[in-house]
Amino acid sequence: MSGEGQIRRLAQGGMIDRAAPLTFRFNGRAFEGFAGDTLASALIANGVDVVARSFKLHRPRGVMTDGPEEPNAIVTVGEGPDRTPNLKATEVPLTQGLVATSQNCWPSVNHDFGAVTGLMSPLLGAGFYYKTFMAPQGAWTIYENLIRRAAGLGRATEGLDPDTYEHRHAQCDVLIIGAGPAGLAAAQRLAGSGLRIMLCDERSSPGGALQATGETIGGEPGALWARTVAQSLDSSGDTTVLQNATAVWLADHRLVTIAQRLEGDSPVAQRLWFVRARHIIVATGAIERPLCFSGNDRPGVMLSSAVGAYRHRYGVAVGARAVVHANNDSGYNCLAELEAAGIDVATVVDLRPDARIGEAARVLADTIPIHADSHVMATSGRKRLQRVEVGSNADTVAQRSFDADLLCVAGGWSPTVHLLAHRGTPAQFDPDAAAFLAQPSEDHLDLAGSAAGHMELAACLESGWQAAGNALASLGHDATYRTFDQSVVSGQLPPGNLAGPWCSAQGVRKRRKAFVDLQNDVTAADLESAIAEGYDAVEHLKRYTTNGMGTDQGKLSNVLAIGIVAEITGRPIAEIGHTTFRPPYTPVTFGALTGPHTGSNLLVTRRTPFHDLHLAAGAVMEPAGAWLYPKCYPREGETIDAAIRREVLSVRGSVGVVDMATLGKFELHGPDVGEFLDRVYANRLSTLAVGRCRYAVMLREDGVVFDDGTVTRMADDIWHVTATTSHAGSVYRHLTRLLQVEWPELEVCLIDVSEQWAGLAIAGPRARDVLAGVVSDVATEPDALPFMGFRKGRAGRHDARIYRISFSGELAYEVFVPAHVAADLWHAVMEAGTPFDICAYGYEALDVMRIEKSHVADGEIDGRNVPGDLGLGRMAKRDRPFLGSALLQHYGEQRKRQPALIGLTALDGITRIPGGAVLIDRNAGGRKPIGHVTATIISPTLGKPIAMAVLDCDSHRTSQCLCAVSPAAGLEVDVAVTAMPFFDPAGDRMRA
Amino acid sequence: MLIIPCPWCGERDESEFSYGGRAKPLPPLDAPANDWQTALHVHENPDGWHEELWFHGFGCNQWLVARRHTRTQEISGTRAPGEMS
Ligand SMILES: [Zn+2]
Repeated sequence: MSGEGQIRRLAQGGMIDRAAPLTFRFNGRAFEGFAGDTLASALIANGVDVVARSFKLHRPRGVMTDGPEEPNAIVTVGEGPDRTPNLKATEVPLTQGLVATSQNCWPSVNHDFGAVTGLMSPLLGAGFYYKTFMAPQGAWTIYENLIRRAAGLGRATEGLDPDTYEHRHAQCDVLIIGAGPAGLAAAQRLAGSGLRIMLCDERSSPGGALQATGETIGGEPGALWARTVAQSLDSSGDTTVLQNATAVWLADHRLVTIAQRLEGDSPVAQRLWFVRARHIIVATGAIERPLCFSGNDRPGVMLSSAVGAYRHRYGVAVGARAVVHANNDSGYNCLAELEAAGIDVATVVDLRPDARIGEAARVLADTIPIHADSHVMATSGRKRLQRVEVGSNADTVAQRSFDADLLCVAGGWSPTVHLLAHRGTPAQFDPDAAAFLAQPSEDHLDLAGSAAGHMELAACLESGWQAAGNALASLGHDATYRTFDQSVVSGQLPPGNLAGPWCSAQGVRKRRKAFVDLQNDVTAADLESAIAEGYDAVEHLKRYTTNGMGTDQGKLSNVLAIGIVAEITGRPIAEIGHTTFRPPYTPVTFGALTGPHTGSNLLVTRRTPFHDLHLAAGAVMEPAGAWLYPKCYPREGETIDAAIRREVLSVRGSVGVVDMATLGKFELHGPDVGEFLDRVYANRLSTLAVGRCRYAVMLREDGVVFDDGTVTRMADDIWHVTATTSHAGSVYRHLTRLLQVEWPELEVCLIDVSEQWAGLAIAGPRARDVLAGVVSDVATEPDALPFMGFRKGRAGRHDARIYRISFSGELAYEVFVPAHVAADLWHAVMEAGTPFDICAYGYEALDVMRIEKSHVADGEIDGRNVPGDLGLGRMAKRDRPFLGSALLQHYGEQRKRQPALIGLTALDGITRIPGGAVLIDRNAGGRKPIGHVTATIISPTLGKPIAMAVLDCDSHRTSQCLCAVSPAAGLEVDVAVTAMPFFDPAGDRMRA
Repeated sequence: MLIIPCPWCGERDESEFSYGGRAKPLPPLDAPANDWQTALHVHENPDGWHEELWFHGFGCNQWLVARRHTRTQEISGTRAPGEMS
């Protein structure tokens, strides 16, 4: 425990549990607080004045508010991987053993290097970043090190976040956002209606502003009323009350994202709710604004509403002797709180002329002297406020000076309209309320309480009550008019006669350190100079000065800045408008956004029906898109490369087997399938005979190659087409669209059977011998089942589909059986293959063999090439149009250069050609890329490096000095163009 | 995140659907290249009602036409694509 102890803790009061003391550490020092404290209230109780340093200028800063609007008290909580930067001390619940540190200070918060030297001040004026980036090249790199060291916004954690985060989806009839007086009044009326109600609130207990004031409802303290109402809701069964739950985004169709912080023993740190509501009542309250004057950032300057908040919530007196600075009557409310907290008040400095000060405000001031038509001209005090200099608005030098360690500022109220503004309709400035007010522009969306601009307690309660009536009526429930019983409500003074000018008085803008945005150290002078430089549009001004761009997103500063722009430019505020409100309302940690979608849960994992058999066979599995697929099957002591090589040689020398289950497989039934396929594929398919397969290429509407596969005519009007693994989904979507939307007149029924049939390819010179041992009821001789032939048969007791198709270039059969009997097929193939030393091969061997045979795959079909570029030009029908043909011809005429797919070999015959390399011509064009490598291997079959590549222009084919350059790998390999296919160009092996 | 009333499945979350662009038929296959260029690359960007295609891929595998307001995101109705204009 520290020496002084909790010197500012009041003897009684507050919602803290004085029987539950907690110890915590702040900047290495031990302190004590109570359960129910926030870090901010505990620090204030312990007399800690300087809590953080400001972002740019490193000025000492204290706690200014008691809420999410806090601009100053930014801290890092936790240590190691558990560290969370950029938290507002006002939002951090105090827990036993909590460890927190200040941000933006080095070497320490009390002795900051940046502040001592004034290092950053001249550097970081308005438009610093703009000017630096526009400066001669290299300027940024000079400043970068300096700035990153001195002006970091906390440090990100290293290592994995050990916390658990959860996503939860929910639906309700009415969602009430905010459990202040308006939200609770709405909930009270809706309770028992049979509607499912959700009530969310950002604080740990309900009540909102009622917790921070001495207001009473029905003769009892407001906070007690709130607790009673919330408890009755909780027990009513059809209501869910979420505390510590901030609604951060109101999205389309009434989807509200709520970030909930879970405390205590919960295994989940945060839960992100996605709540879809039939009706929403936004009762998010209002935030008090500060005032702009010289020295308004000194620790000890606080919002006037914070005085009551700290007394009632935490039993803390925020100072010893106060000056109150107000531009409206609501600023006088804190006088009673100050007195109750035992804080002397030196004076009230009111910006307004005497005549505009309300009678009720004068009554509150009682004997406290009021300096009307005056403003604070300067403050002093090293680590905390000590003196306040005051002058009349006409004065240029201060006339009076007061000893004070607390300066309560009251600049009026900004309704929290963020969620509604997320919907895209700007809030409108209301000069009478001196605030931006939002108007719900959608059905089933209501605004209530001070968020709607109602600044008196009775009006807030009534508007919540009315909003509930709207909800009942709009959802078809009885909404007979009843009025809220407000006869016994005693509330605080509303702002009343709120006055500008917003920047206090003449001359303030010129004075030093009159801050508008405390978090980003933007002063009134910065705004003025930005406007002088032409950045007077509010969105430009924001970016140029960084006003409102901190983690608080300008909750205190935005309206103030707009008011100052109005003063300087003479334009009305309504015309200036506000900057765009963007979600989230308050920062949400990445962990909560990510939720459970991390690690192996990041994406869906698909396993083929052969998965367990692959594992049993010793496969190394690798993700291929969503699929887990065997990479290869290394044997004891075998390297990956050796395994791949062995698998290839085994297939080429005898026989191998590979999983084909990931292919997209579609059946098409009906009399018009031939016509449909002729329209969809570039090549002709309607002429295909029953029992035959054909390679086919599908184009996009713009003529670019989309996918390739095989088309099989299984019966006169039953066809089977395949899509590549990676395009299985998009090809299906494409085909369904054409059938359902474009050509509904075609009698074609399309069925996705990808999941229904599981298959293995048996490939190699001994494939026919193996097949004969696997299938029955079908002739497998070359005459009966020729290359690109199809037969139905049996595999054991199961139906089998046998396609004589080859991707490897060997004699090969793809045998498909119903997916649920995949294991039977596997075992049958392995058993029949044993005499031939059959080996399972994986993706790598498959890829090696297709490259040796120059079959195109994803590397070549990359969404940029038309068929001719890939050597597939002759497949396209000339005599009838098909999807993509119109623009394919157009391309042919428009393009100056014709890309070309080529084969490469390394000149030295040894060096592997780097993957992803660009091709350059050492003779012509120097270092200019003229193509790129799409696939590269060292061929086990040929014993040399080979690669496929796409040249930008066919004419480079004759180049004598091609070089494959990979800056990433730091490799340059001289290559020569060679004929494709690299292996068995005549295709005798697959036709055997 | 929209709620899209599928004509076959009822109201479903947008995450079950994929977007298919403006609901306007493609040109005939033998139409000149210019018509295809326009159909594929020249898009209206209306401020208001927009007829568009959605595919209920995590549902009934059917395409549908939705009438959506691009400003308010309101969906005034959905239908089968049969009678596309
Ligand atoms: Zn559906």
